[in-house]
Amino acid sequence: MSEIQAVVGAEAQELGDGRTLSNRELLRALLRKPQFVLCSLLLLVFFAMAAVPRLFTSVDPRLCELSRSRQGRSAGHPFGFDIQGCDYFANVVYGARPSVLVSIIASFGVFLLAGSLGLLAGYFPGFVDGLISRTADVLFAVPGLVVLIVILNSVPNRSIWIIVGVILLIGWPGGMRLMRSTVFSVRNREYVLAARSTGVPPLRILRRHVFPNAMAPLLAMTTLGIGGMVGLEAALTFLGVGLQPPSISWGSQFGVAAAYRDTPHLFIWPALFISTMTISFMIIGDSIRDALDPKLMR
Amino acid sequence: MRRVTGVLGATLGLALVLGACGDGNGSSSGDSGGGGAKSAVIAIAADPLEFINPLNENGSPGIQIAQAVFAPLVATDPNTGKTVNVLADSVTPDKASRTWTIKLKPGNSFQNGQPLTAKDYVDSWNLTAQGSTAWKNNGFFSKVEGYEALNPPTPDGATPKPTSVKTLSGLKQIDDLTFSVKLKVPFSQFGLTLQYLGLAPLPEEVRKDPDAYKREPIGNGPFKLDGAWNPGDDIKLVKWDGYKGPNPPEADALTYRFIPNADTAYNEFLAGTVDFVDVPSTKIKTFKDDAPDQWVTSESSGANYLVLPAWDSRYKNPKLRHAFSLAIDRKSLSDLVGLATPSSGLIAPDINGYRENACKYCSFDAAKAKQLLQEAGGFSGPVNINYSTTSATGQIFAEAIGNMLRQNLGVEVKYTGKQGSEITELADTRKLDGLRFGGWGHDYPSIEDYLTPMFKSTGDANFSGYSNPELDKKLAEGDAEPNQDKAIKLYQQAEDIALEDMPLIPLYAKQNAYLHSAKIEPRVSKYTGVQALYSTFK
Amino acid sequence: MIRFVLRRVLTAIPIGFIVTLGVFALVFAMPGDPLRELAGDKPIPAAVLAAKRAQFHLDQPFIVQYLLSMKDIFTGNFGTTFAGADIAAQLRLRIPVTLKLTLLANAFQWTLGLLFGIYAGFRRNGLVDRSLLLVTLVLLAVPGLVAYFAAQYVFAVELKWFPVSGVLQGFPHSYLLPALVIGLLGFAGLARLMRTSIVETVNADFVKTARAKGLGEQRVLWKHILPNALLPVVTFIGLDLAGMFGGAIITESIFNLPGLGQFMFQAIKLKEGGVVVLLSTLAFVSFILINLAVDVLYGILDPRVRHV
Repeated sequence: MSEIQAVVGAEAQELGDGRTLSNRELLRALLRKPQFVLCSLLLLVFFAMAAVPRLFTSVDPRLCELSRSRQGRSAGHPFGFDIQGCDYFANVVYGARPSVLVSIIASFGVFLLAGSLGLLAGYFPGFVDGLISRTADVLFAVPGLVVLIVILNSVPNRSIWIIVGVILLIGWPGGMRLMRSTVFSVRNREYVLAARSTGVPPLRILRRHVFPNAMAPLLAMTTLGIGGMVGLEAALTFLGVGLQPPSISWGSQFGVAAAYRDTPHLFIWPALFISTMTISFMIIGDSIRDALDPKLMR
Repeated sequence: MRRVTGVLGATLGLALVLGACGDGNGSSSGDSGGGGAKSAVIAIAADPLEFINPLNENGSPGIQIAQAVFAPLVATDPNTGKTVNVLADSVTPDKASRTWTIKLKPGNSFQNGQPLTAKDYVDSWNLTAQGSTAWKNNGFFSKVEGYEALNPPTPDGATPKPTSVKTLSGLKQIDDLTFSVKLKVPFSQFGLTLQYLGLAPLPEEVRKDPDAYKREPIGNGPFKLDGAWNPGDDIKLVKWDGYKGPNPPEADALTYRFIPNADTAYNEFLAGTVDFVDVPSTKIKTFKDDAPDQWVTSESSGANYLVLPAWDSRYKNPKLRHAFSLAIDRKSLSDLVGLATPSSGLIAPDINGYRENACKYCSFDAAKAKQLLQEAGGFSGPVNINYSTTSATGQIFAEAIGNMLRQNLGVEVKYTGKQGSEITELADTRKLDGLRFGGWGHDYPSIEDYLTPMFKSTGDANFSGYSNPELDKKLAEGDAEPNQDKAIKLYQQAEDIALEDMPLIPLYAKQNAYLHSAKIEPRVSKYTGVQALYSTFK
Repeated sequence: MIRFVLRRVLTAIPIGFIVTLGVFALVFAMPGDPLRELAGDKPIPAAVLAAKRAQFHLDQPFIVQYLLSMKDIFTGNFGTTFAGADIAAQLRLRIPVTLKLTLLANAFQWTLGLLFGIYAGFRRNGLVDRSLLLVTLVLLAVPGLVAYFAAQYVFAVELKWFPVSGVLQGFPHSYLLPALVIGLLGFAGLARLMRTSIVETVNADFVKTARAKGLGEQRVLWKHILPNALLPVVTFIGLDLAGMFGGAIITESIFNLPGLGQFMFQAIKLKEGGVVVLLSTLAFVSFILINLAVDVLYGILDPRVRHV
């Protein structure tokens, strides 16, 4: 994850100097792109799957018959059966929830945390900036995967909330740096200076003027990075610190199936869903980025 | 000859452990090997060894190397299953099976030329028996008289007090080739335990400074190190001409290569770079197609259980235990595990004393299970199933058991994945919540080596914290019985008690599978398993 | 310049202290007895455990254990792991492996990333540019695990183009396949960054000015466009390189490469606080040094940045 994050982070950094669009302009520009619309629709399907899995399957994912273990597809069971002999389609559908939750909540949690800390660090140089930036340095210097493994090995129960929490902990410094640099360039714009000279309180300035105008690059980075979270979840299963049953997720399905070469259907379906969701998020992130940067559109 | 399991088999699976392999020029592929004409590369799916010292080694990889470099006092004959002498000339118990006199064959020596004497055994064993030496096979000597004097009990966490006693009072050298071992209590199976490679002697120069020789062992077995051995390198062995034991291996040279990721090791075999490899648990279904005509299976490698916590009163009622056992479809579970046979008793099927239908509650009967659970008053709260995250298949097997309990008994189930060592520790301190898996592979082929460690109140692998004085008594009677057939009868009575109380639910006994290249044929024996060391060459 | 370097090094010291203390505390707080892991499931007699505990200072309070570990690091007296491996020897074995793997992977990543990125940036919306965007999207969406397993099976086991695992065939042969996969997965990000950067720079005012002044195309390209377009790329490469001593845990495991990542993972599993702190210190120091080097390089590339 850190790899992708570093990439998008550095990539989006360039936008710091770019101009900013109003939200309505942004939306209009985005809706003109067919790939954006298509990917958004795909994502809506995934969200619906996560929210109301019953819409997609009436089979109980936990109804398992070990004797059907790893059988191929048959009538009523389009994806066949998993290792435990449970209907795989139902399991993949039900697996959407943790996968979508982890990726969305972790990503937007990082967005909020990094955004607000970056806002503070960028707007209040000196002590506040020093405190936040030095803390970020500490987290930067420790390999992220190490922190993940240590913490996830220590907790008594690895729920998605713990995983989200740890991702937040190691994920915010990258976004914070980006936000901080954007805020640097925004804080001396005329409208901010004007607000300050008329005595508007700093918090209000931050909320009303600085944040809306400085958040775009971070948002682009966040959407580009969401897909990596699902892949990260699969890696955690491989390392033995992933989600525990009865939680079902694409990452753990994939992590478990990776070693069984003879039954590729166990491996292909979650991988396909992971990749589709990742690509959708990335295309959306790309579209936002392009829309923000008119130079690239010409 | 191993006793590794405990947390679901010896399967390292995807356990990510220290990677290693020498870096550099080597070209010791499967076809070229070491010096001689008959050579083979054997893959070991484990961390590279850091030292070769049988007395400080109780894991399977270390013992495997020790089998090549060292020789035991006695061994199991692969054809008959009888115990035969290797370095010992005779092993004689007294009438009570308490004092054992071991006489060595004359004319054997260490690889440095020194003759092998009774003193080497006595001194090596004394060194190991000292707690301060901190060698892993220390525990073996706890049966010998005088052990406590060398290992004064220390409160938890305290630094051990130094003791001036350096020798076991029960260990006596009689002459150059004879020594005797006096045990704390009679033990009729002691002779069998002497085939453990972890008891191999070290020569005097090594005993004086073991650390200096940890990477250049001086053995007394059929092979010796070929040149220098550096950390992470393959262990290259060549035949040692001085070995005079019976039936030496056929190979002239062997290379042991450590590949920690078992699936990677398997891939190496498929690519043709190693001659012998264990089939990892994830490939049990496919290995016959992957390497047709190049596989062998062992009879069995011990038995696997579901362990119920004796310290949790909710699991106390034997009827509930029987209900759990009856709710498990061992046939389907064994199919899932692969190469496994459903258990019908507490000991492995290849052990003398095994009975086909010892267990009355090991068939699958959901209706009866439900009824028994009702009679026991049901179960409150979810059943927690602990599995080891270090095993590739731990989670899969836990889910299989969980689904059966949930669907056949109607109980709620939850799962907890932890590192294997943590589960063991929690269990040892009686804090573990719920069920876990346990496995046992014998150190010596005796029904006693299943019952004593796991079911005796003081057993050193009493997974479940089980204690029943009646069973202890039967075991003691068996231990004191010099007639092996009569002893087995007594042990079987002890097994029956354990099956009725059911501290462990028997699940399956698993065969191990191995792949071998076309040029070698590993030795397969009903009694000693599959041994690459004793391969024949084509 | 010297003052700048000095200041950076000085601020690194308290951060290093917090990093090592934090990591040590994390490992210390992990549940389970470190020595238990050594034994597997075979019981170790109490006397042996006590002797080992004393040998590795595990009977000391937390802060003493931490200080003893730091002392060992500073005096270069690393000792052995719980399992008896000589740590200095392990580092001598593993650091070269990690270096070879990362450098080779980065060589692939940089060559491919810069070439395609620059070409696509200049020929915007051309065939190469469009396919690059598509290919990189797909690459970024492939979970690393899939790529490693698939590559090993297809190219090593089936086609036998590369060794399956291990480093027996030496450099570069043993490292080619894992490095290629890492390089390809990483190339996507770098290529996209390079492309964006070129596009932005080509359209920047100072480039237009330079052209308007009548400077030759070659001169504009080498003196104005490339140095400026490379700036963000240098930052990215720096971040990438700085993380390399963390090792590549998953790649090293699948390809059985005895690098630092595996060492770290094993040390965490065994709860060897001393080793984890040693490796974290190594990662931290290299992180600081490489970042410093990148900043200095930045100053050379970008005349606007001057460290006084």
